[in-house]
Amino acid sequence: MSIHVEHLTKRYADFTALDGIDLAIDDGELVALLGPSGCGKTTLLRSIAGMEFADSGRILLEGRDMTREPIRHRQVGFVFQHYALFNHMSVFENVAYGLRVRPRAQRPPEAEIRRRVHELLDLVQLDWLARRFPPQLSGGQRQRIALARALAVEPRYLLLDEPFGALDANVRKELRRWLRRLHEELHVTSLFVTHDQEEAMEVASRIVVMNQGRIEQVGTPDAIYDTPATPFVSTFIGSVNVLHGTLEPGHFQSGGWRLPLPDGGTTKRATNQDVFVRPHDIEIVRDRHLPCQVSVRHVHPLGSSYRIDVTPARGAGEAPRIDDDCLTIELTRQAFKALALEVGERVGVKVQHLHWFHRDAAPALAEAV
Amino acid sequence: MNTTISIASRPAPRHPDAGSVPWVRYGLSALALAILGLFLILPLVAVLAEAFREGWQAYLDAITDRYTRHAMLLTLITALICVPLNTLFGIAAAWCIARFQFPGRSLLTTLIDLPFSVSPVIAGLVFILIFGSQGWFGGWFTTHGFPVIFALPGIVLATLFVTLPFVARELIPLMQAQGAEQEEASIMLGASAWRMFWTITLPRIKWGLLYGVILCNARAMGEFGAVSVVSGHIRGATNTLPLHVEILYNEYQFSAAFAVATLLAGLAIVTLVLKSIIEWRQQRQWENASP
Repeated sequence: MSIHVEHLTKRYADFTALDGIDLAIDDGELVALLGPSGCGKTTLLRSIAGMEFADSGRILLEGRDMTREPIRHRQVGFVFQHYALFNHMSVFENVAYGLRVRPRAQRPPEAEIRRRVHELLDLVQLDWLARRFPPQLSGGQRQRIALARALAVEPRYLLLDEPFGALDANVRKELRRWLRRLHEELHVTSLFVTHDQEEAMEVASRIVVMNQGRIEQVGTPDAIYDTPATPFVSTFIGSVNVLHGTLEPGHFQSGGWRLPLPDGGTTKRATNQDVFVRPHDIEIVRDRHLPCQVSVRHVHPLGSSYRIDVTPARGAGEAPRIDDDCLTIELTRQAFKALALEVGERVGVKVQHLHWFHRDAAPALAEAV
Repeated sequence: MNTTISIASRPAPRHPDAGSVPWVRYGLSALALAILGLFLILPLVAVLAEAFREGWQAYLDAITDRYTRHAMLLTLITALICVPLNTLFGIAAAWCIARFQFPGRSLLTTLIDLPFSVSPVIAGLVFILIFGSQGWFGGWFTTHGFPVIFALPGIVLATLFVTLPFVARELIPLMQAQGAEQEEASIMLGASAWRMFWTITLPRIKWGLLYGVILCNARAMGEFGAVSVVSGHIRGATNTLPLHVEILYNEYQFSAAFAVATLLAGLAIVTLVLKSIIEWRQQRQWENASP
């Protein structure tokens, strides 16, 4: 049950929602469409569902061109961000709806409908709510009912539009895990839209990062985190320090910073570079002989980790300045405790991993060490 | 939608001083009640008092009079034609405007309001201009044995025009606030558009629709100006209830005129009661619907 999207383009009066999207999703995958609001991810999802029609390009489901086919031929189950449950029907009737509206010849008998609905309600662990009405349920319960309703028609594809976007943080975390388990059980090809990178990393087996109507990168959560293809992906996924400056053999020069590059750094000089360093890729060492010395400015405890803001160390007696460039370092709780850092202290740092892009160049010129 | 409504119906925060001075509170209440009494209750009492001035028998005679019965029948027929037509139109127009983006959408919205902004007399005159014996098409219709003006079709046309906005105006904001998601969900689950309308759209708008229909009906039965221009006031032929009241009054049959007027007043009261019941039901539906 594969999905192929070929060069899909959709323009509105004053902006381009989809700008030549190419995407292939294999049978049984669970893929996240990740991007900021307005990046076109929902338009792409709705185009695959058949609720919107693109200006050009093709959508193939299982190799068949479905670009102009109406919704009912696509065998898609859709879950809406705000549930879209039918408030005037009981939970049971909501789930039964897709079976009841079938043409008479394909409609299962009443007993079969009952059996199927209760089976689905069991699957989402909410059979005890069958006689309630949607307004009486919590957000998490509603979304699970919405999922049961979408699955009732035995879709070949499951499309979810920000399925957890309207839920509380705790419920959201629980439902993420639950969706993953459900997918492992059912193996229906699933595509979900989210703007929450953590959610995408946790749930999806592959992530499609979108920005301004284009796909920036497609890859596993690890690949996207470790080797981002574009500056956008670097900053959108996870937190990162961004410095702008000049690469020289052995080190990187930016404002007050002169960061030694890890082994195998560049040998050429290159100006106008954006360098990206993840906060946990910087190591703090109490070593006066390290070339890069910093002052600890702030320490923020975050629970399992600590965030430390450092600025370039100045000479003895020289006061720190407010406009000093700041680097953020993240240490595990144990590492922080072992170091016993003090604010104002002078320590050495080592960068273990960083990558850079020429500021104005095409994304393909990315490099990393 | 639900949140907007619950916010709107929440009482506004009171200014600390407003209402704390008793005479302001009682003064304003008394003023409002006085205006209400003077302009709404008093006329109603006057209508009833005048209607029964000559006793029960005269009242019964007036409202069972041959011409009165005919006027009632004509008013009912007009309403029976106009209300369903404008209900259909209202649903279709509201659907278009609330669910689709198309060129001319805001023009359509404005046009629907036109009957509210045009004086009913002008509306009547327009139909005389088009279908009158000196009008554009009047001659053709008359020679083919289907007179429009001074006949039932003219009355129906004028009433249709005047009552056109009621249902649409009620439904457009309601359907816009509800959004299309549940309808999309219904289609995604395989329902046909027809099936979706009956199982999802209609149950969700039914109270708003009924409200619009009742207002539309009240106006269709009570319309005077536009109908007066096109009807010709032919007793026993083209006289509706409001016109009949006028004729009786002009003939100095005051008791009879007020007796017939009580019928219209009764219709107004029934409308108000139904309207309140529906508003109450609608409010409850919204409260149930909010998360």
